[in-house]
Amino acid sequence: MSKYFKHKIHNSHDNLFCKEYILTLAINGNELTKPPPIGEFVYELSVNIIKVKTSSRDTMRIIISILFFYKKLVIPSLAMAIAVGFLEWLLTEQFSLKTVGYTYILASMYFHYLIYEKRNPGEYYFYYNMGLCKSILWGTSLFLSLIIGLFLVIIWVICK
Amino acid sequence: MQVESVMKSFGTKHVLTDVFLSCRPGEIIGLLGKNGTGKSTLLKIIFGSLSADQKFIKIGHKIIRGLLNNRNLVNYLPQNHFLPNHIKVSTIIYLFCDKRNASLIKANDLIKPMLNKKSKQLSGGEKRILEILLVLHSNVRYILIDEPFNGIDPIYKEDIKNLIKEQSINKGFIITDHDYRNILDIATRIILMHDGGTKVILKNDELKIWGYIP
Repeated sequence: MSKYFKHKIHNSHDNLFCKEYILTLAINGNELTKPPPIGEFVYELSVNIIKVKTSSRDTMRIIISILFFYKKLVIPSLAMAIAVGFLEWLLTEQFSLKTVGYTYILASMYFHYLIYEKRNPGEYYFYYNMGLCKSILWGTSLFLSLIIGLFLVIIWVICK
Repeated sequence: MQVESVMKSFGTKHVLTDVFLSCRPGEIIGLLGKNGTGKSTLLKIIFGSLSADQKFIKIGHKIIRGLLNNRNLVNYLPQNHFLPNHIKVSTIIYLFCDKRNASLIKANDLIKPMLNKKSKQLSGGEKRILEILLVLHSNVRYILIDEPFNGIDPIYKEDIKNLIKEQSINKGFIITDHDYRNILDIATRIILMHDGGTKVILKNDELKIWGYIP
């Protein structure tokens, strides 16, 4: 029986990419929870393969999806942050990357809410189907925004 | 897949009160019901994108509590368009499918002309066809489809039905659509949603008895 399983997996195209599987054995469509009875019976055997570990290609696809998800927020957030920076320059005659950085973090969270929660909530389903949930998407947005925002602040601190 | 004891209320309105459903790879479950009976709500709860007041969902031996447990097991085609409008079609296909299925979709005559366009440049029907192909070719065990034939030209409906039948060899499907004839054509089992619960329909005449068709 194990040879049979092995054979099936090696014939599977996905084996090229995936590292681990859970197998379930079914007889006449009924999933088995214990070994089948020994004897001469006529069975319709089927093997269901549940992929449990993601491949490196899957991981890459998820990372790229998150970057595409975030890409939509970058331009409006940066535009707002620069606009606030210039406003500060007009008022105080000092352009501060620190303001731009902090504004970017807040603006990106605002645009995340505006673009994905209000304008295109349906787009979440694309990412849900890839195994990403809303909290992961919000968390990643915040994380990437912090990196970009704080990078701008650090540059300002170094240059100062 | 076993779906049991699903309960869901919106405010004081109890939409789902007594839902029991099962689906096996190879089956196409047609989910029918009048407007507002909770078909889409049920699919969203099974998928994990909507929380329920109470639910018990099991796939094989794995208990599904939310979206994260469903990964690589269940995919869902919602009623409305879900493709990100700023990504090129070819990239969407690459992201959504494995290599083999991506090549199959890219080779499709309907999809070929769209490959270099962004999703926002596609018409509603083109988008729907692409979404259906992506979900049907996804490498999962169960597929939940909400109104797949909505906005699709009649000429392509047969192709989609054939594709669903073809893909159902290894996958379980739960499909709902307002055009019940499309569902009756392909479903191996019909379930009617009525009064917050599910009724198994054995003969089409029962749909009349339950007041679903005239």
